Amino acid sequence: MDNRTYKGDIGFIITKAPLENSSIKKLLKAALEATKNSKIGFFLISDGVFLIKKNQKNETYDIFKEIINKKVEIIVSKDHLESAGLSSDEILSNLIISDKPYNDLVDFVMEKYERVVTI
Amino acid sequence: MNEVNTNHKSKVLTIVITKGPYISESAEMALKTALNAKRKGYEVNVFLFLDGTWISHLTSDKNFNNCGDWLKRVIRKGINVKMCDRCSKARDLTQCTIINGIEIPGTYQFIDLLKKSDKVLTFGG
Repeated sequence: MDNRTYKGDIGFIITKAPLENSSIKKLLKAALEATKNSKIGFFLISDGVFLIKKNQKNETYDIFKEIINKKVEIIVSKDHLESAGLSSDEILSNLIISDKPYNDLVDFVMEKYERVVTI
Repeated sequence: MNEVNTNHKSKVLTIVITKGPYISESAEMALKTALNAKRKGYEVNVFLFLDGTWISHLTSDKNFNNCGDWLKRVIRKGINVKMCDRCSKARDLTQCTIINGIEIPGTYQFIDLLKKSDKVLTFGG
C-alpha cells in the first residue's frame, strides 16, 4: 500500500440525482475505493435523495448498493424525501432519516468526519 | 437524530457558493446551512464565487421564495459574507447594486479565508 494513502474519515454530501451527470458515478467509485482504508459516510440532500430509490437499473445505483453493503452511515433529508414523493416502501433500508437536515448537516461536516466532499 | 455535543466554539466553517439563484437549490441550501452553523456556535463565513455572486443582486422584495432574503438574514445574524472581486466585476456587480453588508475582497483574501477555516463546504459544483 502507498504510504501516502489517506486513512481518515471522509463524509460525502450528495446533492444531485444519480444520472444528473457522470460525476456522481465517479464520486461513488472513489467512495467505494475509500472504504478499503477509511470510515466513510453519506449525507443525501436535495436531489441526492434519489440515490436511495429502490430497483433502479443503472450503474451508479449498482455502485451505491455495493457501498451500502459495507455498512456505511447514510443520512437522508426527510424534507427532500417528502418533496421527491419517495415513501418508506420505495427506498432502501438501514438509513438514518433526518428531520432536521441542515442542523444534522452541520454536525456531519464539523464534527463527524475529518474530510468532507460535496457534489 | 442525536445531537452531536462537542466544544466547537472556535471552529470556523466557510461556505463557498458557486451557483446563482433560481437555477438549483444550491444557494438556498448553502444559506440555510450557514444559519444553522452559526446558531450552533461556529464562526461562519459565506463566500460568493463565480455565478454565486448573483445572489447579492437580489435586493428587492418578491412574492415568491427569495434567496436575497436568506442572504440578508445571514448578514443580520453576523455571518461574514464576502464575494469575489473579479467575479463581481465580470458581472458588473458593484457595492451600489448589491445587498448591503457584503465585502468584495481580492482573491488573495479568499485564499487567506480558506486557510483559516477548519472546514470548507462548496455548494453548486
